[in-house]
Amino acid sequence: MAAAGSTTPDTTTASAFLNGKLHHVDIDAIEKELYRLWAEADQEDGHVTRACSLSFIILSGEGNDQALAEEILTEITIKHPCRAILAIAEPAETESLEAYVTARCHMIPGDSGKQICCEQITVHWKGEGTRQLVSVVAPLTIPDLPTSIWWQEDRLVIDKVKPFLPHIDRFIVDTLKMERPYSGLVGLESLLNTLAGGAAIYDLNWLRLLPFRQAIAYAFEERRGILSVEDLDLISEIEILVTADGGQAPVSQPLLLVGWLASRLSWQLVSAGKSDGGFDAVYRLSRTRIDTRVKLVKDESVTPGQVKDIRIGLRDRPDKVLRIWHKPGSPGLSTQLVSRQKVEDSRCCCKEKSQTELIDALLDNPTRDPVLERAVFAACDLIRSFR
Amino acid sequence: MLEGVTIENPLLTGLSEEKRPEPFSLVIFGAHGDLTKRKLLPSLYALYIQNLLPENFAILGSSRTAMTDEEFRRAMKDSVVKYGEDIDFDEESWTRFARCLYYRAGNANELAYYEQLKKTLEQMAGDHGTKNSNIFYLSTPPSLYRPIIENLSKSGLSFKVRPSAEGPAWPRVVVEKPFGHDLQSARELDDLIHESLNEHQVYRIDHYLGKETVQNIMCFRFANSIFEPLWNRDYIDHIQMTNAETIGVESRGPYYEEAGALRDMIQNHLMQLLALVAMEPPNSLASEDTRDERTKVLKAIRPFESDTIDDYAVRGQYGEGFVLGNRAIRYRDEDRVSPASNTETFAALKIMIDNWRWSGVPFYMRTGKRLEKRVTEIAVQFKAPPYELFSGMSKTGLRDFIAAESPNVLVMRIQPNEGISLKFATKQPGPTNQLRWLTMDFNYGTAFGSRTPPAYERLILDSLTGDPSLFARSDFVATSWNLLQPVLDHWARTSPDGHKDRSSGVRHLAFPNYESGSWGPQASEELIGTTGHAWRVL
Repeated sequence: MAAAGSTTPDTTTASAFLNGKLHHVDIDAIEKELYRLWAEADQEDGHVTRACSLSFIILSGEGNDQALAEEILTEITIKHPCRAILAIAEPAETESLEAYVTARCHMIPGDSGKQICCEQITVHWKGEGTRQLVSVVAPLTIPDLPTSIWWQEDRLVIDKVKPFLPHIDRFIVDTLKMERPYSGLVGLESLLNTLAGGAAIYDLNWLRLLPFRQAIAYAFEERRGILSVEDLDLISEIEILVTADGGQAPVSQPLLLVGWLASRLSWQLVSAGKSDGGFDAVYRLSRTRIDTRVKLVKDESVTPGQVKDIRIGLRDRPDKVLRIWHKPGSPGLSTQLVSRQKVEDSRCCCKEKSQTELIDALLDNPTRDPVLERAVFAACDLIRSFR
Repeated sequence: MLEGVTIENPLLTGLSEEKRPEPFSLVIFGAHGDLTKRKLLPSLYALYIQNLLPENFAILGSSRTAMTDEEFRRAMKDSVVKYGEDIDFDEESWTRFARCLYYRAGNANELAYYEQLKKTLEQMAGDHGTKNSNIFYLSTPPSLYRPIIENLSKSGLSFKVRPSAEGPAWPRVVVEKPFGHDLQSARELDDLIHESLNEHQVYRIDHYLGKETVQNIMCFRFANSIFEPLWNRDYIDHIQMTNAETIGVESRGPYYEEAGALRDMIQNHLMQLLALVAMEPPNSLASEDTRDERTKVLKAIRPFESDTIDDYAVRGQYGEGFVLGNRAIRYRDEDRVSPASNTETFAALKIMIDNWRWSGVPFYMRTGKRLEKRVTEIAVQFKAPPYELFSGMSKTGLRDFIAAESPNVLVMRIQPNEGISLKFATKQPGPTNQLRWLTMDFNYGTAFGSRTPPAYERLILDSLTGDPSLFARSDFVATSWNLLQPVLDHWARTSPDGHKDRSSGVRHLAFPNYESGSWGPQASEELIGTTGHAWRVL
């Protein structure tokens, strides 16, 4: 595997390019230089195949882990051949723009020495905002192929995001890693309002919730023999335990989970407030009051802020409390009606996934997710009522 | 709740459709055989580690060889490690998986054995919560199909169940090819199966349908609007389908002596490919809609007439030669093959489909062993432009010259190098209007870095979930046999050296009639040549 690493002078040869050396190029000659290097590579090494199925941009900021960005690109380019653009934006008083190109190649498994290559362009911007950076990055995206951007920055500053929006099809963010999770979700909401049906917005945190969302949804399917779909109207109490490290944890994940339930089940928010690092909220569906409580529990084995245990109680049915949780030692989630002995263990992939794995899964799915969008809106309603 | 009104679960919105089977017990007859070791167990384990099997399942191996559960588990573990090349094997998950593996030795011809199996399955239903939902996989020689199907019925393990809106029915039976030896035996097998099972309980495996590239034929045709308008006699000159193998019969001599190329490859695999290429758009992707269309197009194929069969069907048998640098012996010298065998190892057909879309468009099929190269592909040859504006300009090479009349070819490569390519003409840079043929190439391996599931993995999962879309339906199999029976009869009546070229009057050599490492007999070239076409140089 060739990894992008040290820089070399302008006289870079095709073999250095193919081996992952960063090659400094003039901003206005990026395409021309890539064309030259690929042409040379074709002549020097007949075993190179180029592939591209999308443009993938990583927007990395000051203090972001650029090694992580490189690592993600290494993995992503294997499964999703693409033009990878690493856009680094650092605030600075003196403006500067620099660009580098390199190839990312890997051997075709089981084939006779052939390798598949993608190209990576690194654009390093120092200055204010992102407009100048976008003016370099946008023309580099491949026409007619989807463009995805992963916002690695830990703040979602709308003014920085906006210039990218006309040029992308998919915006990926991770609210679990946001420095301020509340403002991260509110930022997502305002992006959704700005886009109004344009690019698809994705939150890696939403994908992490998938096993819990599936387990809850399936528990109310009659054929599973746990609860029935009619029982959804009887939900009156929800307790969610969230992993925390030393009493602190971002609560964007439980916010999305509660937002999902509220939006799907048409609950009306009555009141909400923060409580011991978590939050409480009261909803209403017709005459039924639904009390939700999110509590933090110490668990240093996983990233803080992840849903660990959910209990769902039904009105006037004390025997029907549904519990879904990570049982220690079990690879998946366990589901149980607490009045029953029987526990249904699922082997769903509940192992904590890396950001690379989550992005990889997302890139296979190019469509908008209106369910997430409504969950974000409902979560933001909650956040606003905290204030 | 209103009676008869189904309330939808709003929490399921946006969650991808769950393709996980209900709890089941799978009985594999022929569990000591090659198919189980190479394909079935590796596929089942791969499904397990991808979380595509339910929580409650059990697998029961059955064959004559005496083995304990533990010995069977060890043997299957070795197989998964050896043959599951792209599977991430790990001990922990294997240990969990192996707890659901059992084995019972016995004689498939004896009813008493099925009584034992029944008790074991009931025990497994209790231990594993499989709810007595049983599926029986016939991975045995075809000679055992009859006793197995009869005894399953007599023992009460198989029985007819009506289709229900609540989901696919149990019990089910999965049958490996060949589905009969000819039309008569296929009908008999079908009648036997239908005595104890309804058609929707029967899953006839044609592993070609499980290949991603084959499934993609329908996606390619009906998800892209640019090709379908051209997919007819107005724009397509002819279609070539090639299935070429470099290997000989290897250890399958006795089977192949009975089968031959027509039964082994064309009656099932290539007919399915033809159906996918030529079918009309189905009303929906529901299994019966797609299978209806596949069968419908097969029924439109012009029947072979006994007096003109030699103009439409050619057979061959390999002689000595060199394949990929290795000396190859002739078929008649292969292990357990008759030295005077007249079994064909090569077959080529010209097929005409008499319907609105395909009238006048020949479909050429060829399949053979010990050919020059391993390749399976479908090549759609488009017609030449109506006016040859660039006539005489394209003489940069012999192949260009040959192709000059019809430059555009769309090739769907089934294996290896799975993908699609489109050949087109372009101007060569320079002061003249010299043309060059180029290809736009899509390759699965380069475009999709993710793992492509093997055919058996998909088909086993579909049989467990009760989706018969990718399985051969009874009427398709019968139609295919019905179509090819005149060819089989004609070949059985005439010796292979009786073929005479009509135009030249040359009498062809007796079997073997093609060298190993070639592209088959000369008669194959003549078959396609009579209509002014030529096999693609692959």
